[in-house]
Amino acid sequence: MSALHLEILTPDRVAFEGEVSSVYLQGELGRLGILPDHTPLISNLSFGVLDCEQNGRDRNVLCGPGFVEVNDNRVSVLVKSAESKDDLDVDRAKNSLERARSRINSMEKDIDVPRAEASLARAHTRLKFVDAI
Amino acid sequence: MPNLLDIRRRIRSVKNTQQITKAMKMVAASRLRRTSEQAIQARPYSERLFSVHDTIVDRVPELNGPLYKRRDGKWLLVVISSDKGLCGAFNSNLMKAAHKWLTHKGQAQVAVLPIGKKAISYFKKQSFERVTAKIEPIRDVNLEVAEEIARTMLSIYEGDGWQEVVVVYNKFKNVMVQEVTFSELLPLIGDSRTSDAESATAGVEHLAEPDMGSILDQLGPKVVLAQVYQALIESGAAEHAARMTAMDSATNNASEMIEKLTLDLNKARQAAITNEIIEIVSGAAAL
Repeated sequence: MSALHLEILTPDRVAFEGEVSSVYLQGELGRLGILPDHTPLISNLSFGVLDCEQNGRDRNVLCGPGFVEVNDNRVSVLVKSAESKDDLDVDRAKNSLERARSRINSMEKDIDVPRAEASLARAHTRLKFVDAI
Repeated sequence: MPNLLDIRRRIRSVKNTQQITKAMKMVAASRLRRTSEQAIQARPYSERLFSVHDTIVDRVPELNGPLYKRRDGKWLLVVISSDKGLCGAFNSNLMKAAHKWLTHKGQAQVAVLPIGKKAISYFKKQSFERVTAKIEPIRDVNLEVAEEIARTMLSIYEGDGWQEVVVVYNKFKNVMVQEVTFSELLPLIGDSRTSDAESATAGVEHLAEPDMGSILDQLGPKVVLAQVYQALIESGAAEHAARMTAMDSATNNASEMIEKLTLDLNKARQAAITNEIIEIVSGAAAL
């Protein structure tokens, strides 16, 4: 079976590059599974976890919003951020969770509620990713 | 005949200056290493992004988003300079090129958005129309800074009356050479960015999810951001390279000067000694 060449690229670095046998991504409309010989595809990605299997071992990376392009067994993931379990800042996520909560609960008028909610959801996903919730 | 004391004083001051330029050269060298690494790390992302963007642009027959329409109006020139001086002709070359471009387009047709302290203070003295945006001076280039600039540009461009946004900056070619580069930022019309890396995906019929149009809506601003970020880090790397070479030659000039002054000093000292001997000898002869 041919393998997939996966690249995870963020604006400031190459977060991952290597051969994998499958990739699962958080597409905008739902989870996307990509196996070798997938048809060429371009999709939007939402903030969420990317799972891939490398040499029989699972690997998870938390990816920010962005895009994926699949072509000729080459998967390019272009995202705003990519964090693995080791380099995720748990305290920062906890703080932003608290901040978003208090912003939503406070009754002030000039609060951008959708933005606060999005930030809450992101913080929640982050913490869930490292099993801190 | 210069005074011995004066020459000594000058040598000391030149030595001090040399110490400073040497230190600045070291600092610039280490920052250059960091920034050029940053520039290299950022390249794969922007290359893939542009190629995906071009593929989609080729496939979508009618581009009608606000970022894709060529409209009538003025040109906006974004000038990216450094915050600090002492980097040779880095900023003056940039300003000269920008000035020429602006005069060529005609004063009524252009506006300037300066980024970096040097550009801001230069264009304050010029008569071109200035677009003021709240952009903090850039100490360290990072994504947030680029994001803010890109957002500002997009919001300016989306307002009416702009034909094109062009960025001018110093591109980092190698340590010795910086190249003043103009690059068209907006509107996003594919062909201006096409480079060799794209040919791999040309003509491939990609599936799109949800659809090409909505992907493009998300992708457009990202392309602008990547270009702004690229320009900023290139300019940063170029600045440090320019400063390094400038400070290197300043250090060398200081060494030369010290050599010359030491020679003068020795000559003056010898003359003084000769004078003294003559005085003593003639004093002795008079006895």
